[in-house]
Amino acid sequence: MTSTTDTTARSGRPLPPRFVRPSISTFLGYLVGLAVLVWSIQGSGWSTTAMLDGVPALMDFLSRAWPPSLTRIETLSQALVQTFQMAIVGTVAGVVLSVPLAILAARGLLAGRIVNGLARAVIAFFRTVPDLVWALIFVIAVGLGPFAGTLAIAVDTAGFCGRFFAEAMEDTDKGPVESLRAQGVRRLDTIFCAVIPAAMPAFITTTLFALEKSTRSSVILGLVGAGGIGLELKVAMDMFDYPTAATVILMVFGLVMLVEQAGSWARGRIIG
Amino acid sequence: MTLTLVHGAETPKLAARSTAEGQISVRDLAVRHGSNPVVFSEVSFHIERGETVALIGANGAGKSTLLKCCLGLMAPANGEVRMSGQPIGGLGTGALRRLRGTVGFVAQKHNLVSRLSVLSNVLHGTLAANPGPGAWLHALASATQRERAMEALERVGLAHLALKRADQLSGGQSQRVAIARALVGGPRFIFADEPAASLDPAAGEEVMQVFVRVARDTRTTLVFTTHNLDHALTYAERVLGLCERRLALDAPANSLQTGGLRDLYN
Repeated sequence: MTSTTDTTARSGRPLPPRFVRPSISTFLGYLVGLAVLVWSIQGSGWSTTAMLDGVPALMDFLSRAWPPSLTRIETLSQALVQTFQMAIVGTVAGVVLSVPLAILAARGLLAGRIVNGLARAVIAFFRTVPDLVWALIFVIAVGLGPFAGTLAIAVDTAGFCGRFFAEAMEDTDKGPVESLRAQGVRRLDTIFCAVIPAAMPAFITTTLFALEKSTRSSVILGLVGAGGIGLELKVAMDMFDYPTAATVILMVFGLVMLVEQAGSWARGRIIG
Repeated sequence: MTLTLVHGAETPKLAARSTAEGQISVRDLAVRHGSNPVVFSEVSFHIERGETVALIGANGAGKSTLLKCCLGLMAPANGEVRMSGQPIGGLGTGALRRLRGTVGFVAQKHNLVSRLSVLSNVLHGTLAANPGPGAWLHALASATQRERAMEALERVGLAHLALKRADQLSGGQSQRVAIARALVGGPRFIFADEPAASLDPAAGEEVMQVFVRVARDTRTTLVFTTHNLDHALTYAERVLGLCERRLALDAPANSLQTGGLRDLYN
C-alpha cells in the first residue's frame, strides 16, 4: 500500500499522509461493490420517472384518506389491543424458548461443538424464515386468528433473541465462572448464577427490542389472516375505504411509537 | 542469607499417613504449554493440613499454573498431585468435582458476579455441596444457607454489606467477599492467586490478615501466590519459590529475608 504525497511542516519534517492510497485488491473490491449496486438497481426496477409519475396518485390517495374516519373506532381499537396482546405473548413465549436454545448455542458454555452447531442452526432457521411465512404456516396449522400470529411472533422472537442471548453469554467475563468451577460448582449452576446475571442487561435490551419488533410485525401478520389490526387494514384497502385505512395507519404509528418510547424508558431504568 | 534450595533430586518422601485430609502432595510435577518450552519440571513438595504457604516467583515462572494443576484445571505433562490423599489425575469428573468442593478459591480479580448482591455471591460458594436454584440468588436460599453465608461475611467483617450490590464495593471489600465465598463451604484448602495484587497497600494488608486469621482459626490449608515478598514472609509459615523452571526454594518463612528472595527474580 502506498501513501499519497506527504505534506511538509514548517519545521521541514515530513508529516504523515492525510489519506492512504488503497491497494489494488481494495480498489477492485470497491469496483465490485459498485457493480453489484448498479446491477441491483436494474433488477429492482428503480425508476425516478415512475416515482415522479406516481406523485399525483399518491396525492389522490392522501386526499381521499383525509380526514381519517372514526366510524369504526371501537372495532379498530379492539383490534389494536389484540395486536399488542399478540406482540406481548409472542415475545414472552419467544424469549422463554430462546433461553435454552441460546445456552446450547453459546460456545464454551455448556454443550460441545456439535450441539452448539445444531442449536445455532435451529436459531438461524427460526430467524431467517420471515415472520410472514411463519404466520402462513401457523394459519394452516391452527387456523385463522390471533393464535397463529402469536405463534409466528414467538418463533421469530426465539430466532432473534436466541442469537443475541448466546452472543451476550459468550461475551461475559469468564472470571466468576472459573472461580466457581475451581470450587467444584457444576457448569449448569455457573450459567444460572454467574453467566445469566452478567448477561442480564443485554437480555433486557434485546427483549425490549424484540417487543418493539413484534409490535410492528403483529400489524403485518393480520394481512395473512393471523389476527390483529392488519386484517382491518387489508379489508379497508381492498374496499377502497381509505379514511379507515388512514385511521389504522395512524393507530399503528401511535402504538409503535408508544412501545418504542416505553422501551427506551425501561432500558434506562432497568439497566442504568 | 541462606536459601534452602530444593532441586528435583531432593524429592521429599511422601510418607503414608493415617489421614491425608487437608494435605497436598506434589511429586515430580512437570508442565508444558503446547509446543512451548517446559514451564517447570521436577517440582515436588508436601503441605500439611493447616499450613500457610506462599508461592513466589517471577512472572511466567508457573505459580498460577501450579495452582491450576493442584485443582485439576490443567493436566501436567508428568508427575502427580494428591489432594487429601487422592490423586487428581486419576479422578473421574464427579469425584474431581467433589474434591474441588473442598477447595475455596480466590483469584487476583475477585471474580464476583457484579450485578448480584454480596449475599448472593457468598451463597455461590455453597453450590458445590448444594447444587440448584437455592444458592443462585439470596432470595431463593433457605434460612440455613443464608445463615451460613452471613456467618462467612461476619468472619470477613462485611455482614453489614450483605444486600449491597457487588459492583458497589471497593477493591478491598470485593476481595473480602471473595474470601467469604471461598470460606462458606467450609473448605479444607484455600488457594489464592495473587489475592492482594490489585489492591492498594493498606487494603492488601487487610485482605492478607483476614486470610491468615481465618485459615488459622479453621485449620485450613492455605496456599497463596504473591509478588509481594513482605506478604510472603509476614503471612506464610513456609515459602516455595519457582525459578528457572524448578522449585528453587522451600523454606520456613522465619528463616528467610526479603533481600535474599530477590535472587529468585534475577
